[in-house]
Amino acid sequence: MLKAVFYARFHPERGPAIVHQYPNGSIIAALADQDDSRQTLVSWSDVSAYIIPPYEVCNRPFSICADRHRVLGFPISLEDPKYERNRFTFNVCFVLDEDLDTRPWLAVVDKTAAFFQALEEEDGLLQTEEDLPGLRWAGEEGYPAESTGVVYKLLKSIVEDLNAYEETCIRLNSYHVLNLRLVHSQPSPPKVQAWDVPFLIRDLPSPDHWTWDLTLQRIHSYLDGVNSIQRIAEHANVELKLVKRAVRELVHHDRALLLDLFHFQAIYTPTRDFAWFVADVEMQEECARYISLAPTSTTTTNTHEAPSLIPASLLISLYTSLAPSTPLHAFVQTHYTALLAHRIEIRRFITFGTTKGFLRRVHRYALALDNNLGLRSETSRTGEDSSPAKSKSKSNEDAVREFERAWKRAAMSSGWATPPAEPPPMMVRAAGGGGIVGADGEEEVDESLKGFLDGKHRFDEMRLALRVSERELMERLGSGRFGEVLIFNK
Amino acid sequence: MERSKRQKQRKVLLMGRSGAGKSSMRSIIFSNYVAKDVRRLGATVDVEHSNIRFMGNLMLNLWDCGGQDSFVESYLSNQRSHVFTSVAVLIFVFDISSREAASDTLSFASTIRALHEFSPTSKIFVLIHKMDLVAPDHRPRVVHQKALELRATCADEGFASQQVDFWATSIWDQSLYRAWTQVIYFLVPNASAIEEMLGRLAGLLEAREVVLYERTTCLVVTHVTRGAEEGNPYGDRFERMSSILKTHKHSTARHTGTMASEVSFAELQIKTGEFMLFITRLTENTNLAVVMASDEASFNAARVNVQLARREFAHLDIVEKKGKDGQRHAKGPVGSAEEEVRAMDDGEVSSSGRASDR
Repeated sequence: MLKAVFYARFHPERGPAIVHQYPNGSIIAALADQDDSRQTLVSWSDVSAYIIPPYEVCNRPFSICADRHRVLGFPISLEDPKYERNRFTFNVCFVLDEDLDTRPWLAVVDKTAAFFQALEEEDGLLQTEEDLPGLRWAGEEGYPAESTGVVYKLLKSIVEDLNAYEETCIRLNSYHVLNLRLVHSQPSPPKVQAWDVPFLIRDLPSPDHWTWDLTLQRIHSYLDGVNSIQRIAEHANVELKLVKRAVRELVHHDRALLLDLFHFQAIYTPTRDFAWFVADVEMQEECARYISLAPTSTTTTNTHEAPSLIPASLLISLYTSLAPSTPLHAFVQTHYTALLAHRIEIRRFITFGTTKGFLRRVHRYALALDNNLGLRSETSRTGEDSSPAKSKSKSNEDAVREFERAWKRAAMSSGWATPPAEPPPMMVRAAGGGGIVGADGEEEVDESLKGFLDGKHRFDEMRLALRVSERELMERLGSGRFGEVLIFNK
Repeated sequence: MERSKRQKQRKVLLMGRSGAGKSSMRSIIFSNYVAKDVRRLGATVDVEHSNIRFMGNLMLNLWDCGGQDSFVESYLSNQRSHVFTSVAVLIFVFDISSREAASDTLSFASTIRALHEFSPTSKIFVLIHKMDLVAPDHRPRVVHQKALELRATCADEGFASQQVDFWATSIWDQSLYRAWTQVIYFLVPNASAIEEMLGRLAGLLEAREVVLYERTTCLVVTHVTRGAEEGNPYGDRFERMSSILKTHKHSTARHTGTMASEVSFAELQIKTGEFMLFITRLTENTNLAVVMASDEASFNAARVNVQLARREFAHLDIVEKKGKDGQRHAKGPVGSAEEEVRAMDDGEVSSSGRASDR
């Protein structure tokens, strides 16, 4: 929150002095309060030397912390013989709390300084304002004389608008306009993978308000929190890269979350944030409402009878019985009666936990011990190679990326080098539809599986890329074709 | 504590109202500005410190303090001890054309009150500046009145009258140099030793006048006038010399395309029917101007003798703790120079370096 803004200037006789401040009394105590013990935000005498610094240091941003407040300023010194003492030095400063993140404010300070500089250089407004007869300086009787001059009104608008709306547009006259906005830059969201499941947490704005781009138009009906990105891409017939980009945008603007692929071989476990869930009664109620299946019309007898909520103790016991050793199907079988009695929807049960953060998915990885070293050197050699034939041992996505890069490189090179003609084999397979492959496809599957066995790829990823079920995956890994394979959970 | 160091540090405060002319004076004297250049100067923000070497072993810490109200308030309150401790000289500048004479005087009073608190033995130079804005016939009266008023103020604050000096100055004539010459003369630690040696040298050379001045600022450090020369009606000739030499520097710089601060000459000679003058290097930081009678022989002898005397004057740069030794040491070589002169009484020029045999 912006605490105050003030405009200070180096006066030829008075020295550094504050001409205007908003709100009144923030830096220089208002005349009425001068005997009051009410503190000003910062002590002017402490910081004045830094607000109007020596000329060599002017014309660049400056910040100083004092009295647990931070003063951000940009002293401007204009040299011109028309001024008394050949210079006009001023500073428009913003006063914030010391521990506030200053990044969005730096741009605001810069822009304001440039605006004021233009006011003075082009129209001499700042100098003429001081010559106005009705002007009152901060700390004087009758401050602020709101009808005199423009600076006070400017400062007032800046403070009020930025605090209320985080942006402002002040128009002084037809060619002096100040547009400010606080931009809270968030870190860019992590890369979206093909096995992530987008889950909308807020409704998308209707197409009347916000034009949807083509991708969003095609995929939005598939964004149900069940389909993985790969499946969305297939069903909507949109290129995988575009779907990923669209989903990344949604995540960045807090309209969607990324979940993991839900299936009954998955393993979930509580995290340490589970303690919050236990303590928070509201969250428990919300959970109960969310996960219970809506009662069918036949079972409801009295409409004004509220459906009985699932007791919190049951929820807690259910959640805690999820453990790294328990795949979901085992969990469901164990607690089948309880789940059925309270009409708990298992998917929502898990989703609630993962979105709130107190449940997490334990992924499975595979590491081929024997030939892993050989495999790694092979993949590193083929890293820069553009030929798709050698990239068979890599995962589907890497291969696609390599192919595209090779294409781009060929296209950009002068003389138009022949681009790789053969599309990566995986694309062909994807278009062909899922299902277990025939005998000649077995070899290919095994080959590509090899590329995943470096301990860095989840089972979900492998399954999705190779279009095999988990059981089949385990079979293949256990068959001994890859030597000794270590399977671990993380 | 200071004597153990090679250099003597002297703190000089330059204070006065805003726009009085402090930074202008400082730039002209120490930074080779010409009077019309100072129009471009901006207001001083807080204090500008400069360290100026003088005569080799004198280091002037010049504090050019901004005169705006808020700065003065700060000097008198929260920076009071920091500013006013260990001050050797306070130079207070009054703008004679100021309309607020009363408040100027008040400000002066509070400043010297603070000065008396922390450096009661310091010397005060009051410069009544911008005299060019006063009509010439009014000048003496105006200066006298002001001086009277301010002397009373100083006495009120506890300064003895010999601690306060008044000078009328203007950047447009040589009065500026006169005032600052006095300041420097006060600050130079071994001025009397220098004068004594100069006196003896002048006697040996049979010069009419001998003037020692600092090379970069062209300020006259001291001079010795002998015999009939004392009747010279031009009492301000030394500051005029400073002014002329300064202008000479600037025109040389302009014509050779160098900076005024880099300009120097080996020797300057002026020969007329009335007198003969030469200016040559004496020590690392000073030049000597010697005025002789219009006689070729003695002129040339003088030139050689000054060259020989250089070594002795170099000892002046050595710290004062060798003061007494320095004196004894000085006597010896000067004595040898004496003999040197006598040997050349017949007017012949002898080769230099004879003194090295001794």
